[in-house]
Amino acid sequence: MSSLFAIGPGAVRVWRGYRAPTMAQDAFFKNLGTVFVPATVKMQIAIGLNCYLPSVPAGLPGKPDTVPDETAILFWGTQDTYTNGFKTLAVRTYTLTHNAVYRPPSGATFPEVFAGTLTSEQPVYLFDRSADWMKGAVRHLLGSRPAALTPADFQKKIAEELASIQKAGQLEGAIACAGDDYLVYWELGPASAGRLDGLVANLAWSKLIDCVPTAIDAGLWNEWPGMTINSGDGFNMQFQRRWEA
Amino acid sequence: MSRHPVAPDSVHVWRGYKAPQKGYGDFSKFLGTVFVPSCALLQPNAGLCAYVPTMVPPVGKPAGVPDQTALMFWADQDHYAGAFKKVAVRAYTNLHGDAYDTTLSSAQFPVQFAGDLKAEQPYFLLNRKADWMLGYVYHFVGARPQSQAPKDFIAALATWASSYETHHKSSVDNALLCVGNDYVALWEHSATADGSFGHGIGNLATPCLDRVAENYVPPATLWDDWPGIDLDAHACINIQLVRPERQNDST
Repeated sequence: MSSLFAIGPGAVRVWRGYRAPTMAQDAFFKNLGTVFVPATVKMQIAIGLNCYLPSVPAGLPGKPDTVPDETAILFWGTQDTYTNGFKTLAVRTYTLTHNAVYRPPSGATFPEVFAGTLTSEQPVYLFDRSADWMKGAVRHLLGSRPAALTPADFQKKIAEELASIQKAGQLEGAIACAGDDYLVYWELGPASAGRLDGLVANLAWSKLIDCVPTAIDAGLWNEWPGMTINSGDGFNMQFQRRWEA
Repeated sequence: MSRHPVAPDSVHVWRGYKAPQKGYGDFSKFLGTVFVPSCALLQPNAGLCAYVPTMVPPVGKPAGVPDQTALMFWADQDHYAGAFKKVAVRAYTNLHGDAYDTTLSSAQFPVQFAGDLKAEQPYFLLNRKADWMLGYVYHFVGARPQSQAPKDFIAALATWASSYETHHKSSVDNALLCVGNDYVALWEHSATADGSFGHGIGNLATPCLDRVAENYVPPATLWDDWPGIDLDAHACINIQLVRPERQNDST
């Protein structure tokens, strides 16, 4: 693997978004497909976006409101690449397109290396090695806390399962974030029967989404109606990184 | 630099009022760091031909007078409608967010003045093509005199506009007028800066802004480090856009 493809595991923003109640679900999907997802790619490649994998669980049957409506992982060259992006108009503009669409506690944070325990709303990565998430098979598991578990017990049980996955060491990468009421988890590498059973067993509601490689065949100023986005879709956006040009 | 003359009805005339929860400083900062430069850099490739944003000085300004105005000239009205087919323009449009009081702020295309003025309907006073990005843009924003009823204020301005075509400054090739119950906004475009602008409109309204726009060249692209435009220092600007070449623009 070229060192150019060595994308560090800590330089990823882990986004958990909740649809604003003022925005109807159809309008939410339309905004994602016509503005947010394409703008994320087209406006941020030039300042160092390396991988972008959005998923849209909004509207899935049985999904509790406490589970995010949209999730995404966005990899940058480094954490500073992301921070420095705000010095540019493109990133300031892109960021402010979100205001009317999401409600608190929507947000994104960088992960820490997983050391056996979870803190609510703090993402973790399980494997401290570089990987290129754009080029591999990515699955995304989401789920809700069972009512019988307290948030602390829920996070403890999830942490035990993550430790098991970490110990097995079969994946190129894995990222997780647990809130008091939800889990979001992404893994990069070949699928393996039963690997996720332990996590799923500790979720009341769950959904596994394959992040489908998807390219946008239009630029910022081409006439293009946008992507069609439906409930349960997951994408692994394919684009030429700035260092690949 | 090639010229982009466009018809006088191809401009969106914006009158913006800041959201009541926003302080003026935050409003000006948001517009300067994101909103105004985004319009200038995201939309020329979608057909924006000229852009003249203005911050109306807040000190002493009556509430009924806009906090910000802007002229946004498009190649024609179809280009404006078609711009929404492009991601760049859809992203810009999603920015409006909570900066403005959306119950008061609005933009419309102008119609030709024909003797009467309707509140909040922009008019063009001369039916000629012009390239507003080049040359000089004069802008006047005035408040209705407190002693005058809105109806009388608008009637006086209609009388003023009726004499405009025969009495305006000779070098002016285009002019836009918009009145509200509490304000009047006038823009004139001229190839030269000599002589007096405004055709005496300052006698009919209390001036809040009365000046020629500064030509402003953005020093950066979308992806450069750039904090944006200090709109307190550059309050009335004719932004020099990077426009794609068009055919038949040399006339």
